Amino acid sequence: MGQAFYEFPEILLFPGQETMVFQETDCILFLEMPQFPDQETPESRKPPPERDILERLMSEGLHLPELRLDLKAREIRSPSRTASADAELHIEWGSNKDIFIIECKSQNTPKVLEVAIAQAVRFGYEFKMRPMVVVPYLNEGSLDFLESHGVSGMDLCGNCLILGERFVIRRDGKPNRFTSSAPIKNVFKGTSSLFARCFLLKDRFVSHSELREFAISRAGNRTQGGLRQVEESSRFAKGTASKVVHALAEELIVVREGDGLRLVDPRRLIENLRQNYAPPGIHRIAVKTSLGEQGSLERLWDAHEEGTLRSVMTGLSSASYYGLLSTTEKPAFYVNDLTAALKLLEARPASAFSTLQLLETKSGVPFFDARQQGQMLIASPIQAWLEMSKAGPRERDAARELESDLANGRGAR
Amino acid sequence: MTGDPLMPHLMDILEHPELAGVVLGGGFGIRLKRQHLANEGTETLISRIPPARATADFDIFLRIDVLANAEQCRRMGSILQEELGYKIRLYNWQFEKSIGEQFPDRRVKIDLLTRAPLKGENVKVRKMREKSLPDPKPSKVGEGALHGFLTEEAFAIERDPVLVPVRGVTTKGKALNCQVTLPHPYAFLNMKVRAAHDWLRMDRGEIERKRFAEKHPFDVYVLAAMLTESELDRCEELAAEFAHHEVAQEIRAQAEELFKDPTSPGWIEVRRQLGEEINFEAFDDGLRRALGYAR
Repeated sequence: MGQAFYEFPEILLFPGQETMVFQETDCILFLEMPQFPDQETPESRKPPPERDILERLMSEGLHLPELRLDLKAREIRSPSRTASADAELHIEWGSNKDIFIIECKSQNTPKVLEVAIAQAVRFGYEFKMRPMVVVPYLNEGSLDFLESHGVSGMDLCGNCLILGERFVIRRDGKPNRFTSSAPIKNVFKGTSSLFARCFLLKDRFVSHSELREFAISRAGNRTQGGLRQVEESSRFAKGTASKVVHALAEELIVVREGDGLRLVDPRRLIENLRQNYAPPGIHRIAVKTSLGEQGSLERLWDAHEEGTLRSVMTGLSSASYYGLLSTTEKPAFYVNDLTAALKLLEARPASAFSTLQLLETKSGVPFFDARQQGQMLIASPIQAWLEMSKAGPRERDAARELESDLANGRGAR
Repeated sequence: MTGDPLMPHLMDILEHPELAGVVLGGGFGIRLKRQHLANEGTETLISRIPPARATADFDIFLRIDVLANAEQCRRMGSILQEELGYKIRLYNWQFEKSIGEQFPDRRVKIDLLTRAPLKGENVKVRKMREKSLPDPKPSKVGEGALHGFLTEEAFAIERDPVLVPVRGVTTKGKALNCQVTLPHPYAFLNMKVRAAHDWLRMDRGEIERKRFAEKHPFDVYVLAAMLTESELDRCEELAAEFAHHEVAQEIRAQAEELFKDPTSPGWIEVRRQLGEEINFEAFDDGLRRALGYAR
């Protein structure tokens, strides 16, 4: 890449790890990525506590070519004496000098970042300095969020957005060194995700209890113990519901209104579910049976009604029932007991000229929110969408329509 | 809602004699061919053919003589719009309507396409000038109620079309046993190789990206896998006939670029989507013979 000239205050963004610095009259392109910090920060799974964050920045020596960074006072009382900011940072570049007032946080969830930004802006106004937040990790989305609020940011992983009066520096793409400071992912994965999925089926609940009861009702486990068995399962424990709601609130996906819970950002919920979806651990086989397809479906339905075998059509196979795909593939079903299913269907494994496919899973996830279609259970629209989103291009194309339904609150139908 | 949202709409089209002779390409055409082979148990180039899925689109090819006949176009347009309820989407070669009451927001779409007219074929070809269309601007063929989107790579669309039996029920519940016309594999492969090459160009940033274009190299594999022995023989004859056809020559070169060997981009994409090792030798041999290019 060569030199380029831009109208200030243009910010040029490059993917990966390149630093761009612009000022009003010159454009300087750094082809080599400066270390920021300039020493390797020791790998640490846990982010440092708030009081140590600035120590990490100070001890590793803030350095950028052509830039001078000078961490000044700490714990500075505001002029109004009502609060104290964490530090003051002076940044010089050429003849330009800017002073930043810093708010540190030891976490970087969207909610914490939002609070930090609000505090930094307030301090910026009170101290008459430019606001900046310092957190363990800033991803691209967080940097965009900071930029939209006109607040600078630095993290301990090498990412930054520095908004000077006459220059801008942005660096992104450095990986998160602090895995525990990453968004809590397990609420979007596996069994925990079932509570999160509930919000795509019903966008508000009057209480945690209602959420839990809703989740249990959609689990639809008709084993011999009935619903009681499900209720006793740790899958739908009160503690799990609480943890999931807390995580969703931290991510600003759900808000608490008194005891009530309301979905406010379905698109983010959808994106997180998609990113974290992994098919359940499965043993999959194609089988042949003299019962034929229709006979097999009847047997599976009878067993479902009796509670002797759980079965549900996979999401991909269910896609046609959501008006999305036409397919030649043999129907595929999740079952909770492959041996029992083979016996029930009088079937044997057969890759050629098979009747249907069976996928054994002990996970309750694929069965969640199964929908009755005649005498058959098809997958929840959420399960269908997730499976299609991870499949081939036609499936992903068709998944977009279902995603739109879910984002617009039409998942419940 | 039945298990196949698109079949009733195909049955609606095939119920009308004026529309029954259209050639159905695209993903749904591949899906019907796949189903037919499974039903017949016919031996194909590659025994394990991946399942074919299709979204709610019909790519329908109209013959040039149909497009040159204003009255016939008027009747067909009337059937599509007044009887079957399709509305023009943007241009009068694009139609759509709701897929049904259960999912009123889902649309079934029809695109009308055609080959480039030959010298002496008396039909109008006009370059489209709408600013919304990317450069180079496409052309449309015909006049009056219907047009066909000019598709260069469909040069063989009218040669040896394949009739495939279909059974189904119309949207009004009428049971039908009829036939649908599909492109001959030679014509189908030429179109899909061109589409797959466009995907490669998008991947390189040479042309504007279209979402999900990676389905095209996979479709090339499926089409080749579905070749029967007699179809392959006929492909070789057609390839020889079109040996000096400019577009056919381009497409042969594109096929070579995409699928020359297991490290070629088209083949890598097919393997990535299939997620398993597949029979490159059989595919390579079949594709070369079908399109007429040497090793």
